[in-house]
Amino acid sequence: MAILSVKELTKDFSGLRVLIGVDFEVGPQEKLAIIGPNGAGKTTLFNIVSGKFPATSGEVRFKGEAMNSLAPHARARRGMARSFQITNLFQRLSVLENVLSGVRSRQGLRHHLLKEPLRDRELVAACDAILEKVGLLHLRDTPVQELAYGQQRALELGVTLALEPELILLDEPTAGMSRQETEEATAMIKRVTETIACVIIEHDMNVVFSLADRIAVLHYGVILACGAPAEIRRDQRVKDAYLGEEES
Amino acid sequence: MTSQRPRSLAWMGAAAAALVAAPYLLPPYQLRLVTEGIVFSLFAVSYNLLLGHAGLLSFGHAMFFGVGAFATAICLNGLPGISCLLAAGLGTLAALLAGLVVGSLLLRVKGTPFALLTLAFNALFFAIGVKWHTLTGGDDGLNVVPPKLNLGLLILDPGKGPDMYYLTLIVLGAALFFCWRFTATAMGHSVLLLRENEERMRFLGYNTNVTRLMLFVFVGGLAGLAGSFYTLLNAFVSLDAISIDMTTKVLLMTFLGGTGSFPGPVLGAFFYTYVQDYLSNLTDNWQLIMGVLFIGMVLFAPGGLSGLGQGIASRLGRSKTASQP
Amino acid sequence: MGELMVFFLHGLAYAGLLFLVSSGLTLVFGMMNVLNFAHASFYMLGAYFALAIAHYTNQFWLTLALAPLLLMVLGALVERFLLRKVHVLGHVHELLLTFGLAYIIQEGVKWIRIGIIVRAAVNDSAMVNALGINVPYVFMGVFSVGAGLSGLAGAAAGPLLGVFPGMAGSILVDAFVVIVVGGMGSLGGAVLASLLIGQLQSFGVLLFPKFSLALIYMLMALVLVLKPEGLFGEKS
Repeated sequence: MAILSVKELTKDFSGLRVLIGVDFEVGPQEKLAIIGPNGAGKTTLFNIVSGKFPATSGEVRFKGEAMNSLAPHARARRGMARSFQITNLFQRLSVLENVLSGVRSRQGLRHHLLKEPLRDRELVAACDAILEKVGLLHLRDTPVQELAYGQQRALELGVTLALEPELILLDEPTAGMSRQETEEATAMIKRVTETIACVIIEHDMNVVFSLADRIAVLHYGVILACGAPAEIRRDQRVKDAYLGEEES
Repeated sequence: MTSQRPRSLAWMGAAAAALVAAPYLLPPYQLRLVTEGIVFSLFAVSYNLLLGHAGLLSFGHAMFFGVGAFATAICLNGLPGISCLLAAGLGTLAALLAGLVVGSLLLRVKGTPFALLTLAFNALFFAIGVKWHTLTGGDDGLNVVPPKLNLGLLILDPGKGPDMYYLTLIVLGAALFFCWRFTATAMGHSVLLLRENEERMRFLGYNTNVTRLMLFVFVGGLAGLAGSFYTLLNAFVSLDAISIDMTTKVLLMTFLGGTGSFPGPVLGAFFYTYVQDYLSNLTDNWQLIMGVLFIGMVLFAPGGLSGLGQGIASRLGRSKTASQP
Repeated sequence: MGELMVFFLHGLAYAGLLFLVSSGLTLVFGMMNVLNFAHASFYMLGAYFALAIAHYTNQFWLTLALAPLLLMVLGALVERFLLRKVHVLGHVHELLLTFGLAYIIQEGVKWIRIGIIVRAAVNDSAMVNALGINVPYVFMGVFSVGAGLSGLAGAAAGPLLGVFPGMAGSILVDAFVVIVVGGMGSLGGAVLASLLIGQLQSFGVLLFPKFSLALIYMLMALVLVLKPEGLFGEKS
């Protein structure tokens, strides 16, 4: 059964149709990449799936449960995590405190409000394990605002992973990175999301083809094509609408 | 780091000894000022949990202080035989409830509208106090006689300076210690997340409305506790305790002391208490001088006294390290 | 019937004052994104200036023209020498500054003789340089016009409501309620909310003398719960 299914999703912004009847499904552990030119509605799609704002019509189901009326925090608690296109972290807090925010959320917030999380060995160990995974353990006490850009992106992923999600929405994980940083980031994403379903918005075709099991092409609010990478490469409509202009 | 530890421990030991010995060292009037300083320290620290830690600028903190102060006075007068600690507890509880009500109305409001509405609510609480004079005594205020506190081994009389001092030091000192540790707790961490990036917090599975509400109830209760002791200390409470002037006072204390650190507001509370005492003997217009001082700080020293102190210390430290070869 | 008419007219007059005060407040907020807590204090100063000018000249219309002018000068000075300095420190400091200013004016009015204020203010004439087309000047102008509007309201309020040190506090909260109910930064909202609250205030006193204030707060609470951005406000 699909872990995420999006049916007939439509979004109007004061008369302007940004998404028109978008349909797709993501299976457990599957990596679906969504590509399309700027303004195609990709980030809007993420905002609706993650609950930032409601759809005009249509349905989002996560693990079989209808999500439409749930607030973002309720969706996150059910195992749907999202990372942001522009790094969206807690700038003046340390790397460790940032990851802690995800780990604490995972472990349940209702209890131990007056306990000191940084004295809880299990919590700190869980944070360290994640920092190890994303290669930031040596920077755990550094404030985020002092990190290099690539490191902030890695932390962004780490905070998202700390939720131990079953589905991650990755919004342009390599945006603004150099060639080499992009390759390292791609390898890291591949490694840490092995057992997690992902929806990835990405412009860099090398990243898309090395991560995605399937690719959906979003073009001005409509899914133009959806299929295995090889199929998409061959699809004439996609070539015309998108790939062509990228390669030229 | 290692050499600093024993030194700071020694400092803390000396400070603790001074606090315990204060009633024997200070004349009664000075002891009263210190006690008042402790009461306002808790009030200012609770305010800084909003301003400094959560980044929420409130112009209505006196409503919680006043509710605590009046509820305590009303309990003492209305329930004969009540212990003064129980009365303070009930005062705190009333302020917690006020925090719950105001907090839930202000959940969706942020930034400037938040500042504005807290002021409006403070004005509302004050107006209720004025109108409901059968409860609050109106312009006359309420006189109370805080009963003696029987602790089995010893009996404390809040009417006596030293006894009231120790009572304040122990109860409010514990509350202050709790506030000091607060940022390290899970809830303190949530409050920091709230200040830094509320949106991201929501996408990480936190119900930020609950966090905000809990913070409001918490600081409301602390301010109420300070208000309760204000009543016990003065054996009297008037509308002054719930007025915008009282809000201005806590704002001045906190900001003069510095919002960036825990000791800042404590420093500010004592500074304000002493300067007020000094100036009000010299001139009737001490409030004007305080206001000018405040504007001066906002313009030229936004870190407050503790910020100035840190600035000087770091400059001294730098010149010291620079002079070493 | 005649009595009702009196209350209606009083409500209308109060609504006019409220609109003058809150339109200045909302103008400054809408264009500079600064909520001026000292705004009602400007209104009070306007009333005091007017009282002094009327005392010396005995001319109502001159008073009505001169008092707002003085306030405009004061507003321009406050923007140029105080507000602009803390702008870089961020929003909280701007609010703190205007709040501190309100406090100083409040305490100052209790103290200074009216004549002294007037002489000091007339001698300052930095207004001459205030015309230009760059952004800082526009801000100064906006702030100054806002202050002028509240000065006009203050001058007009004297004969209607009396002149006393508490007059700033009493209109400040009402003006805040107006801009919350109308929507922050919206002039149309300020008109509607002023009318609403002016009448509510006036008839509240007639119908429920003890709870007239509660009516206004109930209206505000209702708006907060149903439409937190105000009747005409934009959703943030």
